[in-house]
Amino acid sequence: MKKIAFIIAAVMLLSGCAYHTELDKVAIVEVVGVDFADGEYTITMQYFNTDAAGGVTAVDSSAPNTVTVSASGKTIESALEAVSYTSGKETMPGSAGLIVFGKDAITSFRDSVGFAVSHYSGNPQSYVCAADKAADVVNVKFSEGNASVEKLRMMMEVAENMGLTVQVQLYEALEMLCCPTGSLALPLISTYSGNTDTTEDGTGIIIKGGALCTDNRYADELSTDDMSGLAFLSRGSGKCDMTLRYRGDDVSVILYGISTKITPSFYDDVLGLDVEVSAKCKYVGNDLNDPYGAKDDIERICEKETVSRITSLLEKTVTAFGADVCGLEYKIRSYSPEIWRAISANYREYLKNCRFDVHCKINTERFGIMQG
Amino acid sequence: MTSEIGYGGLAAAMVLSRIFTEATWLPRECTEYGMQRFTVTITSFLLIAVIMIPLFIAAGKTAGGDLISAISQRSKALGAFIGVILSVYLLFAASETALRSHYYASSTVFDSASSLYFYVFVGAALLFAVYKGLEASSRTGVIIFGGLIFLLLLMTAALLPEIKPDRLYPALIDDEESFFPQVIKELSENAEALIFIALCGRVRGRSRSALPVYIAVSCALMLFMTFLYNTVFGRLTPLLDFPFYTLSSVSDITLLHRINGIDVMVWVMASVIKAAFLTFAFRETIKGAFGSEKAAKPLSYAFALASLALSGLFTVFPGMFEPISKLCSSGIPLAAVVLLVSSAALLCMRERGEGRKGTSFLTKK
Repeated sequence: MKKIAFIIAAVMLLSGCAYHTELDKVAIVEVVGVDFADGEYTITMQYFNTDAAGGVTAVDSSAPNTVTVSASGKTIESALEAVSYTSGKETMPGSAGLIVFGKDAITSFRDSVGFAVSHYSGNPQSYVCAADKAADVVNVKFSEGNASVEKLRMMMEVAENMGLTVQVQLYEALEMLCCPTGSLALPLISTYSGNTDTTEDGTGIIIKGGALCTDNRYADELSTDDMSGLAFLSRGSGKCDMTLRYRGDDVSVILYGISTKITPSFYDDVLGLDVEVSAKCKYVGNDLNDPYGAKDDIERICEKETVSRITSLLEKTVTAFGADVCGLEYKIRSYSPEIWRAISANYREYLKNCRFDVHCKINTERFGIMQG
Repeated sequence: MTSEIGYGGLAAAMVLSRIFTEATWLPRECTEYGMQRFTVTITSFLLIAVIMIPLFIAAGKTAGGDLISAISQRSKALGAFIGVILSVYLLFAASETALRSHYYASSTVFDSASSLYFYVFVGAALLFAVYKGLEASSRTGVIIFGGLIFLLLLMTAALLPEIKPDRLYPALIDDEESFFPQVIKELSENAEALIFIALCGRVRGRSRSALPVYIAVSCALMLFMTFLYNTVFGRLTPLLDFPFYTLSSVSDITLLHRINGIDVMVWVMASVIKAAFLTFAFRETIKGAFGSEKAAKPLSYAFALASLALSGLFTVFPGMFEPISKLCSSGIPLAAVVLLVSSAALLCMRERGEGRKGTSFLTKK
């Protein structure tokens, strides 16, 4: 008992001897934005405002919930140091839930992303996305909730659940950049001037598609449909919401249980990819007289749309740039190490000349019927 | 004998010690991505099993006696020679353990902490473990081994959504040139054989059973860790200084958002147990090779302190560490020591056995 009392006393008393930093002297970073212009990196950080937490409510409405600070430097590291100096706080970039890269900052991308993991306190689970200008996104403060990052991440999570984008975590981004073509597609966020109530200054935020990075740098913009195609090819959420044109009306369908199989082949020095997608479909019809009448048509339209999205993605990434954004390398190697050995030395060129066949099979299993 | 341990306790400490080495890579010692790593691990453990066969036989014939005492009783000069070689090797292994632990802790969660804290706290824990003795340290080793298994289960559960099996591919060897050096490198990291050589005399019952348990469990755990590295990180694996730590950082479960804190806790404690067992091995070597019971205890404290001091020296002057590490990585010193001790023990037994018509001559001290 005496021993236990001694240990408890030691733990409680000796902890005061150690070096420590008070919470209000630390910037608990929520979002980091990285921009590059005129040979300088600009880091914009949004961190939790500890002074706002002392109010009557959990979030003090009289003080901003988050503080934004910005500084520049020749390298990302020096810009980070400048941010600490400017804010007068010890910054903790490792706590950032989201890192936004401006399109111009996506050069030598592997090194740029590397800053976040070069700190061992870095968070490999941080999400990474692109923006036309990162500072514009980071400067937006949502009026509800105390953490903008949560709102931004929820936006991306909802979009991913709808099969419209694929979220990328920091370690996944680095892993993709280590692959032979150094390619990945990041969700692309954009701001617009509007009058939305969700942000403090009325600025709106949308996910407008994706940013294709290949050979470690920004290459092109991808549409929302392209990103949806990527969701089909990569793990995604296994679910996709589609709005289709049918008999002059917009109808909504939900694809679920999505399964994708990619079979590579190699004939006459040409790489072939046979993509087979299968999914179940839920369609909400409004014709009570013949609820099943549209089944075949809807399935056909869904299949066509799915093939179109995947083909569009493959054309914009694989054919145009030889960029492998969905881990095709792993699939090829897993299917046949021989094919991989034959193409690995000149992988990008083989991808550019790659022939792909995309097939889709949709099966409508559920109908939601409502009064038209 | 003041205390004895079961072969399970010795095996648990040896496995913990081996997995500690695997989880705490030193700089520029990166694990590769690819199926070759599986083949390398299996081959290296098969080789170490072959190398340990004479040791296994010798330990089985000692009937509870320890190998070094047996050799020393037969030939004092040979016993002293083996004692010196083992002591030097054990000192290097202990200092390397402290170095790994220090580098690992100071590179991960304690990145801004002073080195002094590490040496004070880990040094105090090591001295306490040496003071409490082999039996207490063995029990603690079993508990920490349980902690390691718990950590692995927790991480596996948390990483299930991140595991991408399509990153595995049907191949055994990716690069023929690098295969053999990698096997040798892995083989050389089984310094736990030294612990067995020195401590098998302190094991109750069938001490040699610790060897197959050690080989089988270590191999299985390392294969599982490689599976996680490959399927979660893919090509990123070679860029990570501590892939296992990064795995624990990626592990996300509701209660424990990041379980890297548990990871660091397990490895720092494992390093203390490994260093303590190496210290006990040194103590038994001194007792067996030089017969100095009285000097063994104070010398073991000196050994523990010297290993910490040496690791500090290696940190400040990495140029001193690299050539020794390179020599040990060749696998020659380890294989030589294991084969020397086991063949010397077998030879001594044979010579004496002839006089006694095959009866076991080695008895417990």
